[in-house]
Amino acid sequence: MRSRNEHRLPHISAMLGMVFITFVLTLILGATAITNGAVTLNNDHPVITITARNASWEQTNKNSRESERYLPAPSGTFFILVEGNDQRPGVEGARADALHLLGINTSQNKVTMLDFPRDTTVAIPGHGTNKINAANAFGGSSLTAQTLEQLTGVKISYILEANFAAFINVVNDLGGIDIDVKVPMHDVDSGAHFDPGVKHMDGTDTLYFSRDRHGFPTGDLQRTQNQGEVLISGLKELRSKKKSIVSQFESAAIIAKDITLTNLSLKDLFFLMQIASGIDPANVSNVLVPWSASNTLAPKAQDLFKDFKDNAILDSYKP
Amino acid sequence: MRLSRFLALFSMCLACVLLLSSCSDVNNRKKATTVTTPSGAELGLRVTEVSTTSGSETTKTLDADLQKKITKSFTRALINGAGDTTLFSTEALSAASTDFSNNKDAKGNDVSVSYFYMKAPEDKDSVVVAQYTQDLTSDKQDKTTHAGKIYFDTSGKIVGFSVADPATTTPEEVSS
Repeated sequence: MRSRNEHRLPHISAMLGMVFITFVLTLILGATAITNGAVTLNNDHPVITITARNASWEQTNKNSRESERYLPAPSGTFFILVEGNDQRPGVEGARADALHLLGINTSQNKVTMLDFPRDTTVAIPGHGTNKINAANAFGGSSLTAQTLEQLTGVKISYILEANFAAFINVVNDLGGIDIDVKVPMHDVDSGAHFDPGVKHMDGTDTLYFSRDRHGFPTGDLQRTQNQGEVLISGLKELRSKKKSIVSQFESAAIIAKDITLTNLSLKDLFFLMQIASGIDPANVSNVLVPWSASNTLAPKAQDLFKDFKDNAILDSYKP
Repeated sequence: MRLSRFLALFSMCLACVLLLSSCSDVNNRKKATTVTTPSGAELGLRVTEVSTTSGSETTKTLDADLQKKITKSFTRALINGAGDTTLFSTEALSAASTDFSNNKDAKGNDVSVSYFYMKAPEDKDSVVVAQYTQDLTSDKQDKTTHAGKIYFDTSGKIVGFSVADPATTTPEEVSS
């Protein structure tokens, strides 16, 4: 007898074939696997949740729009929180162990992705100061979003959240992805054994690449950034597979069926896909939020947030 | 015996009729038709493809009434432009003025279009995408090609669009 999971996986891969924001899942799923040290599939809970938090884009539309396009979807600049947590049966109080804030500038088709190391100490609304990944345990992804909004000054329109899932299958269904390995990676714990150079990795290798934090002087910081690189590599793969409108329709239906959508319709998903299809991976910047000693943000982080929040393009900030 | 022959003949005839009918439908779909507005402006329309997607299933068909409704809005938009305000949703209209020009006086207005219909469980979430190429010829024989997508709801209202920058050629460029 086929399990529900076996039915679900092809759907997920089909979905990933179309949606940029949904591709971010590979990142989340990879990071989730990292946290737990293994990939375990669990279908008692939704694999992925996408939540529209507000409909603020109507206001944005009035202020900013490129001349050749109007879609009944966010325009100008909007923000998405991408969160991977370690929720699984028997574990209560899931923590967000992969946190990425995407700013999408639809006018210029550019994206800036801020990578937040999970151990970053921040103020969590109503819960004092703690590691940023504890916000999810205190109040779910909504509190994580509030925490990041308070920290960065942006208004988050969507939350894309995942718990345990099928990272390996997703990458395999894409036919693997090309990843540029910058330094030798030989780590027993993660399973990463790569020499420098561009490698075409299957799901398992991509997972190993995403898991490794021992092979770098900066440990988890580099790993967090590597997850971002995996995302961009995956987007390149997706862009190389040109998809028709019909397949986008079908993918939207699959997403709506298999993923928990909150305040989001089938039509909304389709129009988000239309936005995603216009984004060139070369226009995606992957930026690690600067740290100082003792897991706190460097003063420079405020400059980053200030530059990020107006149009999601880093005009003045230099890492 | 006679009855069986009759039935065989009848079946063959029926099959032929159905076959011709379907071929005729395909030809009609790809054949250009001329749309004329009350003011006399004309547009040559060629529908190259239609499809309906419901869930993850897609068929190469489109409800005739819906196609008629969408075609009416679509051709009006490409003839009258954004001045035909009733065609657009309020939000789309505010953005459309520079992208949909008035082509009533064009000497040539030839459009090739494919209609893709996403049929949602709730009709308000359904979308029809018209993916098109429009070749316009001015009275000076300048040729401009527009290409893009127009998004409709099932009432035929334009809810969005994505139009590429037009490509223009003059008669001199064509002859050289």
